[in-house]
Amino acid sequence: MGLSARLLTLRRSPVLLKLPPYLSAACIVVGVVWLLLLPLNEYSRQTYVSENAILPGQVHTYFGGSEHNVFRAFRQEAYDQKDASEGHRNAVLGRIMRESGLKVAEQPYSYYAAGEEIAGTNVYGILQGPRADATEAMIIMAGWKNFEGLVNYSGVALVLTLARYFSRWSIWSKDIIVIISPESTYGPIAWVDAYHSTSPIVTATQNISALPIKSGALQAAVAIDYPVGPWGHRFDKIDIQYDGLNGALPNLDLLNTAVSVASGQMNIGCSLHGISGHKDSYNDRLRTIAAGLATQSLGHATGPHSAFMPYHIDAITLKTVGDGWHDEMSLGRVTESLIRSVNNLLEHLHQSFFFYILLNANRFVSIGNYLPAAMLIAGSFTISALALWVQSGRAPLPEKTPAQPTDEKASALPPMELVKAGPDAALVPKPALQSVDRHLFLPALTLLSIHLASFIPLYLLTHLPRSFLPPTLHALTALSLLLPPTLSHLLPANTRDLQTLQSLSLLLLSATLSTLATLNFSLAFLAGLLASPLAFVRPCRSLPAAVLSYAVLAALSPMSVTYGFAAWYWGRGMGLEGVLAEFARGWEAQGVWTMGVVWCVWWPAWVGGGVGVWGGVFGKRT
Amino acid sequence: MNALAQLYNEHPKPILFTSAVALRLLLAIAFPALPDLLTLRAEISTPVNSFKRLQEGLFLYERGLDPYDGGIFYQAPLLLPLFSLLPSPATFFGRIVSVALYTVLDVLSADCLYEIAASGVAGVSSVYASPRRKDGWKPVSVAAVYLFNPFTLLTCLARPTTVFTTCFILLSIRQATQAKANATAFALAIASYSSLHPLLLLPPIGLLCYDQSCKAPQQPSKDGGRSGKQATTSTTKPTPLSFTTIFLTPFLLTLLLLLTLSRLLLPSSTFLSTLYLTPLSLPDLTPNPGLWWYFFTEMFDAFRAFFLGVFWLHMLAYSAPFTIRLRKQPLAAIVAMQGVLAIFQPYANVGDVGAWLAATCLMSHLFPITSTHRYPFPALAALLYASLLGPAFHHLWLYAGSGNANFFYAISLVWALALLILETDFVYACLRDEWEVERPGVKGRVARQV
Repeated sequence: MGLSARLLTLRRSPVLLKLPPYLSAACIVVGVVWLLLLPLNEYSRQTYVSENAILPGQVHTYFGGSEHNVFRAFRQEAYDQKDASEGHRNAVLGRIMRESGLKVAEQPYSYYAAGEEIAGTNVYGILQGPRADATEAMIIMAGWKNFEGLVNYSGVALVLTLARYFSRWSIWSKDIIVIISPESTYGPIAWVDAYHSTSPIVTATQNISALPIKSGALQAAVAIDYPVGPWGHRFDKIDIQYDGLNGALPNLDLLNTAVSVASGQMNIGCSLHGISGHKDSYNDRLRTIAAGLATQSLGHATGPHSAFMPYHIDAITLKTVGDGWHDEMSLGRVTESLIRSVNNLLEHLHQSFFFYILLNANRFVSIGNYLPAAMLIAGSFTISALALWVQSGRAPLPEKTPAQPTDEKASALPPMELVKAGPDAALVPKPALQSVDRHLFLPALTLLSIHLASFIPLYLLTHLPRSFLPPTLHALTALSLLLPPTLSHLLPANTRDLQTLQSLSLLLLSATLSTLATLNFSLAFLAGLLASPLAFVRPCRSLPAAVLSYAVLAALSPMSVTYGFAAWYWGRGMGLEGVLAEFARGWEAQGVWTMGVVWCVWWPAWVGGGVGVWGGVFGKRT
Repeated sequence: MNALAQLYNEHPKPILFTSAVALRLLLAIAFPALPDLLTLRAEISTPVNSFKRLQEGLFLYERGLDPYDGGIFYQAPLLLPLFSLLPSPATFFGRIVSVALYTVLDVLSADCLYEIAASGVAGVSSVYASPRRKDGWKPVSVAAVYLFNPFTLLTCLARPTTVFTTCFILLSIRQATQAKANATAFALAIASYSSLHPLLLLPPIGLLCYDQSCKAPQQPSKDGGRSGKQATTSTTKPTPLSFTTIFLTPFLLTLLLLLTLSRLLLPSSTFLSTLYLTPLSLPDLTPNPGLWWYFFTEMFDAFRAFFLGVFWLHMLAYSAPFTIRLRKQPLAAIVAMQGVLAIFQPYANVGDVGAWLAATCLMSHLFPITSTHRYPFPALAALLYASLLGPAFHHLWLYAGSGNANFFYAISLVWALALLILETDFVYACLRDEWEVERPGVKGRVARQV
């Protein structure tokens, strides 16, 4: 109890009241420096296979020889379908699977987002494992078009060849499901959604047919991305893609298995995020972290594997990159060995890490080492919230008047008040009795309204047709910039009430960001970093100071960051409209939360901060 | 805006209650999937109050089977005939009807809180008058905190049966403030019948009722004279012993009546052991925001009985001390005990916490003490953190599969810690208020507790 009493005395110290902005700044700086330290050897670890049953690369792979002829034949068959309709193509692919002994079915799906329809038909086959009881299954798949939109002839052919090859083995203790989806994002999402539901999913924005045939619990999925036609192409490295929707990651063991099979057994190098010339230097490691941070925080699908993560199915995509001397057979043998390892599993992958940041294909940082970075940044808002709360409950300090020399004694003593209770009486210093009541009702109601209002931009930006999106964003930007000064002018609240509002809004932001940090570290880290000015803006008494603070806020606002991101993406030929439509599709069809975090977490906090800034100018004096 | 404010000031209660009802029904109508989603949340529905389990019991009951045979249903038997009258909550209409029933319960509870706050027992008892009694909130604010508290709101939509218990506890307190011993005992007996732990509220609620019956005759009519006043005091003021008898007899009779009724409804008397041994022996370890389940999943069977005893004894140990120490402020003793139950009960849920947090507002005249001398804001901030992180960790553990049970239990520890800080702050404020009356010189000073 001695400690708490001392804390209470500290609460009154003037030094402590000046401290919070510095403390917040220190939190943010330490958070960023923390992230910059992660590439160092001291803070990261070598990856290792944690699950004993998985035995990577312990089997001899027999994929080769005459299978190569089969592969070339299938690739030619696939190439012949390049101008065929989707129905015809699926019929051909289905016939090939059926001839290999698979049970084949098709699944049409359609999504409706940003005023456009995304439709297609998945074709898939189930190879019933000779030793399996249909309780578990693993997946190999390929999108007809890969994530970049190139036709994945060799990937599809390799998957079909492997299916034919696997059907002649008797060792499978799990069913093998082969999926060919028309493209690499929505097809797999529709398939996996339907796999885990009992009836067709029909809503205003999606129409996904049920799967006619199913197997058991999905253990792992491997997608192949090898967009090369009949002319062939020898590749240099395998790029392993692992980011799932909303920044979920597959179990690290699956990744480790793929890396150890590829590099240990087949002598194929592995890269991440397409960073090919990784020299394992500090800079290269930091680049890998940054690329991981970017894709994870965006949360959108990065390949056919992404769809599986929300259902706790570990999945990766093997993508061929560069010019080298490895051919399709090596890739096939990597896949074979990987599937053999997954086949060894006795239970779902659970041993290794689900939260990690990769520095290169065989070095990682685990959650305990990186989470504090995001938590510190989120914590900086709590510190500011506490400081603002204390300030808002403090009576405005009286103007200091020079003490008159005549009544020195009198001014030395604080004004006293006589407190009487029954027969007892006591003199009590007056300031101790003064407490300033905070008005909580109005700030809390305003905050609630701002949060409810935040659903309007979210709804508009996710539901309007594509061509309306850029004008909507311009209008929203203009209105959002006008909202804070208008609110603080119109509200019948004084500066301290607006300070309370700012404090509550920061507290909510901080709690939400730290919750988010446990679900999607990168998004919480970046959102916290971009929102960091909110921790430092205070009510400004003078107009120029308020304008300046507000300009800083506006420069790092949800709107300006959206523009900035779109401008950065313009290089890829999408334009503002394309980027916004992609966001809308992510929200509607992929179920990505990023838009929700930006508009329903950050935007209300930003408005709250803005109201606080203008509170000094427009707030009613008491 | 001003017209609205004026309207609100003139008729606060009807407007408040209407808006609360409208909000609940609107939420249920606008988001038809929300009630069923919340019903499945571990934070709200525990094995002993889950609405889904009630449906299971109801199914067996309506087919003439013993609802306790399934090993799923642990709730009071008298709920079954009540809910069998309602349409099936699987349909849209039935869902709205069930939400409406719980809305009525919430409004009744809020009305009780309103009346308790309006009665002024918070600041004045027969032996004590707080110097701060004028600083309390308006009764309507207390009711508003109950009705618009997110925990209560979510609980209302999730429809756990502990809402009945809460309602009857508050009803019992309300009757106690009017010194109606029979009605108090009756309401408390219903609460104790439906879940065991309100038994621990018997001493403080009894004290409040006794205190009010002592206070009642102290406003004699002027013409009565000195002898008349003495006569009224001596005739109407009961002795503690006689009051205990007056209070306990209807309590036990009601309990007996309810149990007999239950036995008549059901084919066997297994309900007794299921209903009352479940909280005592904790057979179902479904996760909840309380402190018990994790502890007992880790426990070797040999120690189980011992630790069950320790945990229950711990909860039991607060009832009498609070009643004795806070005897000058019986309402404070009740609220403090409610807090202990909300934090430490075997199947904790956020609904009880919401009701308790609203009940602490009954003693709102003491809040300035807590905000000057204690840490309510950090504790409330921690509560906010825990209530956001709790569902996130639950998701990581059970759905995403990337976390484990330790995640969720760690956050329920934080949750309990925040609540405990609020509880100790509350008790501190009550004691300090008494202390400052005894020693006015200490007002505003920092006290060091030893």
